Amino acid sequence: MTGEEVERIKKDSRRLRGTLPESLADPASGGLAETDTVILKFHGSYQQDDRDLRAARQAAFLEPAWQFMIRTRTPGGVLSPSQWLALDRIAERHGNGTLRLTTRQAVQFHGVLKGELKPAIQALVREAKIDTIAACGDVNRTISVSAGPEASALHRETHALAARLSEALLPRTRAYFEIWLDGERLPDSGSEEEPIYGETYLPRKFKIAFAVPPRNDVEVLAQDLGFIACAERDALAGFTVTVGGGMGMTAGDPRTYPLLARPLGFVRPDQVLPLAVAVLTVQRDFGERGERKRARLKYTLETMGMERFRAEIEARAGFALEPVRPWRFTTSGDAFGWAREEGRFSLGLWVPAGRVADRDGTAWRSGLRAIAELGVGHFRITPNQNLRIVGLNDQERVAVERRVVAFGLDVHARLRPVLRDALACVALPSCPLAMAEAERALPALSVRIERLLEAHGLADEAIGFRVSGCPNGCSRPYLAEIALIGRAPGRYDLRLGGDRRGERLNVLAAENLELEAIFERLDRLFARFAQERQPDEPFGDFLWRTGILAAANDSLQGAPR
Amino acid sequence: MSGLLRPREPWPRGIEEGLLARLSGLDAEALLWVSGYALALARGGGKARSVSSASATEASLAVVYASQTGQARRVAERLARALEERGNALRLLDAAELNVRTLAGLGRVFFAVSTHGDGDPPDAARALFAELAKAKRGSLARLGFAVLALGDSSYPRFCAAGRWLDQRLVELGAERLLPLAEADLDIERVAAPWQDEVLAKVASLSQDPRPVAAILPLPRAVPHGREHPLKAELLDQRRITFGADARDVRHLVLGFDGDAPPFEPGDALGVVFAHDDARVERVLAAAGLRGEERVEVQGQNWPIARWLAERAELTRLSRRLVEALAAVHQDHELRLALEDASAWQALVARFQVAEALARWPRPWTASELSAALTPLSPRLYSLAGSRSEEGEVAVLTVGVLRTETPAGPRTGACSGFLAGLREGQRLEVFWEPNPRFRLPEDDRDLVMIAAGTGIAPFRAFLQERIARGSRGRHWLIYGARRLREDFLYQLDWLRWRKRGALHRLSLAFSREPQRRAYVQDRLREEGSELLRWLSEGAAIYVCGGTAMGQGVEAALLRILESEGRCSPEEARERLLALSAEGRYRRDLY
Repeated sequence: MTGEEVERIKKDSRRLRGTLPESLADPASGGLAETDTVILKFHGSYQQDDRDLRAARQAAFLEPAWQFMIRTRTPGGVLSPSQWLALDRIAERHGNGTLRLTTRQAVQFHGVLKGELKPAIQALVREAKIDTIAACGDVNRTISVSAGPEASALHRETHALAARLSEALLPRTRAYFEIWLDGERLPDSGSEEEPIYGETYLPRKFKIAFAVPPRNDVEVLAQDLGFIACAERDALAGFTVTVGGGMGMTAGDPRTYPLLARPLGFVRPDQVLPLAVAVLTVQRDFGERGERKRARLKYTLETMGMERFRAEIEARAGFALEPVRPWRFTTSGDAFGWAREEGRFSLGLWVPAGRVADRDGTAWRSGLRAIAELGVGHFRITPNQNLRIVGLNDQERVAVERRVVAFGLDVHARLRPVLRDALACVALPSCPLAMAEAERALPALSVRIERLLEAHGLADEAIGFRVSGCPNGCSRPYLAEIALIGRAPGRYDLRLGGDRRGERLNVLAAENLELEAIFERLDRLFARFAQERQPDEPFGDFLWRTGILAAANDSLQGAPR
Repeated sequence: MSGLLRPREPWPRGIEEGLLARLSGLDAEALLWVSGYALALARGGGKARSVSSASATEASLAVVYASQTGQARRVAERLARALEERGNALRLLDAAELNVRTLAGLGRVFFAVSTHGDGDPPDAARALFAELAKAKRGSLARLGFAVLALGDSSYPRFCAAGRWLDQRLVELGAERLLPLAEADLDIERVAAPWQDEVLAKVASLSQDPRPVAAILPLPRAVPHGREHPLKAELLDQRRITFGADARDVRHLVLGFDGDAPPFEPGDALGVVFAHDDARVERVLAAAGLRGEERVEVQGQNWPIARWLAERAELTRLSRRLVEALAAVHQDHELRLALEDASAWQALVARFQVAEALARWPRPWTASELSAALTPLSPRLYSLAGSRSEEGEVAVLTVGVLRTETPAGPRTGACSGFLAGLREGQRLEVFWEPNPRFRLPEDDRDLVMIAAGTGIAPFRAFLQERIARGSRGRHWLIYGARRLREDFLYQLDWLRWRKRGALHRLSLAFSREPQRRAYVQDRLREEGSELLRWLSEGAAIYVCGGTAMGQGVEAALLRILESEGRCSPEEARERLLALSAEGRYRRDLY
């Protein structure tokens, strides 16, 4: 669909209603009218199909096996045990029996049939007290917040701020309540004002994250709008604001590319909301609307130039931005195992590619359910698709640990680092954009890399590895030391040279290769790495230092520029 | 006129200027009359005879058929031809064209009447039968008649329509010229002797047969029916349902050597098939035969195994077989089945031939066995595509019958045969015209009601209507099990709805967890809309199983009663009237 078409659909949607009720009621199709698939995203759901079946169904004169993904709006990924239990029930009752933890700290339900959409969303709102408004679509998406165990005083405040911001940036339309919650249609519900978004909302999706140094698990520089927390005497002083990051690109179109965000200035906590509204409305007014692949804020910023952009922001926010304050990140990964936060215990658990399921002899779903049934602490989804269980006292820690062991959820201790830290997007079979496998292939690909490392005596080397089913970059592959980006079944672009702090983009090393060719190249690189590396030098840094990769890449290295 | 069509010399001089010139300007009916006359002349040896005005209403002889699948029509056509060859003037009529008054004026009438469904007359004869049921005694006092009833003894009310007609005509004062003849699936066994009796009867009645040319229906340019099988090749075969427990439905495309026969949407294709070896083996084993024993059937000598494979009905029990078993076994179940319709149905549902032979063993000779079995009837499948869209091929939608029984899994004889064919394999088929179920001549709206594979002819209808640029509206009311699994040709219907060729689509899924429904439920819900369509001239077409057809009819009657505010009697009248107008047509199996 072209940008103009999407814009027209949004404009004609009567504040995101479209013909969704009619589409939902149509018994002849398991899918929606095409225009409604655009509208549905704003309600937190994507129409997808089981692509494994697509060709066979078409040959049988049957429409694709339409199904829906539902994504929660859970700022910072914080859930109570009872919310977790509700999500678990909903996955069973209305979805495919699995939960998917995402890099934006949301929970996704997959395989939801059209007739189950409304019951599922009702159950989410009524039983889990979680909504899905604006979890997808051309609006501000779920806001990410560092989930790491460090600087937990800052985390609490930052999370509260993120939750408030998430509320403030919600669309005002009553459509969600009307369509999903049988809410009364208000007399004026066709004309709810959208003071922030206007009638066509944003040109494209918009992502905000809050990072709490030293952990950059949210990868704040990959976001449209980033806030890097800054502490003064252990209290939250404010945030360095970064703008214009974004992962997505279109294969073969040189006008599209991943970009790291650039620092804009510094704001105090009470300035976060007006600043965010200013950035959002600038993007609303200046963003490209004709061509969706050029519509993200990163291109708007490039087109406007930093100075004009900053001036526009300051004019709209009503205050001048303070100078950027320096920050220092040490990692973008997760911490696993037990830690202490604010005098309480917390536990980092590895979840394979974020998929909470009981399959292939594992018991992630029933194990986590058993832990939630204890009713203690909180769950925190991490931006690396893992889970933390936080806020436990000593007694609770013992109870949780017992169940972790009983259900075999403590595998993080036995994993080699490549697989443990690897990320993959969902991709096949449900993602309509996927060109190659990602989540399903991740374990095998990781193990393959580990074997290669092992052969060169690098068995325990931590190397950031990410797989994405297409160039859109949901698993943030452009920041990885090694990334595979799907181009066709079994074929990937190989990108190399990210760092492990989320501050350096990798570069294209080889295009559209078969897996075997990729492993051959990696094998040769690992051989050199084993020979030539400096003590503790990360693989990505090694590639740049030795000139294997041409040094033409943007790198912030944590310093204001 | 092409020279190739000219007969050999002597070609009467001046015929072009004289006779043929006069033909120009005649309308179709007149031209048909002339052809029929010429044909009769030709059959009579070409000698000119005096032509009594062959306006056939004056004929004292008529052959009437009430046919659902074409069987009765074929028997009637053959009888008419035989009568005509002996110089009798006659009319060959479809029961649909008759009412009691016109029937009363026909003189001597020979009926071929089939029975379908639960003892029902063919749709074409329903109006006539309903009128006969209400007619006054004595109203057919001047009529002489004989009835050949066609039926299938595996159904409970065997030959019921013919039996009823035979009885009713006598009650109305008509004279029965010959006793009722009842033919089972092996029609010839009864039909051939009956035809001889009719010929003899007619000869004895008309001492002085007037030499009169008759109007015969023109023989079709292209042979059709099971006596004219065509070689076909399977071009494509694929399953079009999804899901482990969904019914196995196949989409088959058959190509012909050259053009396809000139079938139209609504017509059917008959498939000539043989039983698979395993089925034959089971029958032989149960009967204690080796297979090479020879049998003499209708003048042909066969090894029993080959006769069973190619000529015998092995999936459906015949009455003769059950009688043969009951003669040896003092068995309650067998005896009851022969007496009681529902017990018969239960028996047929539980046992196929091999299973019955095994359950009630007795010694068999090959000829005893062949005499106890009915001949294999080829299976008919509605065409699921129109030539305008699919080209010179036949498209069939075949539900592969598979049931689990205590005796093991069963597969439909013909559907199993078709499902086992691979692309490129050849088979024999024949064209079975179904004039009662074709599209209306005009552009009127269509309400198409189907369940399961009954959707097949409607796909052909819509393809044809779209190709013709028809302005009529289309409403499909369809019943399947589950949306994702067996909404047959879903992509076509959705595409047609999107482009505005399908104006209304009502669906009922019988196995969806939340909203189980059947087409009858949709009809009831949308009854007032249906009446609106009817009042604007729509024609209703129903295709599916017999039970579904009965359910739909009950629902239609209820709609006419409640929405149309009339009595049950009036509703029935209304439906009969629609049927007589060709606006209520059914193809049930």
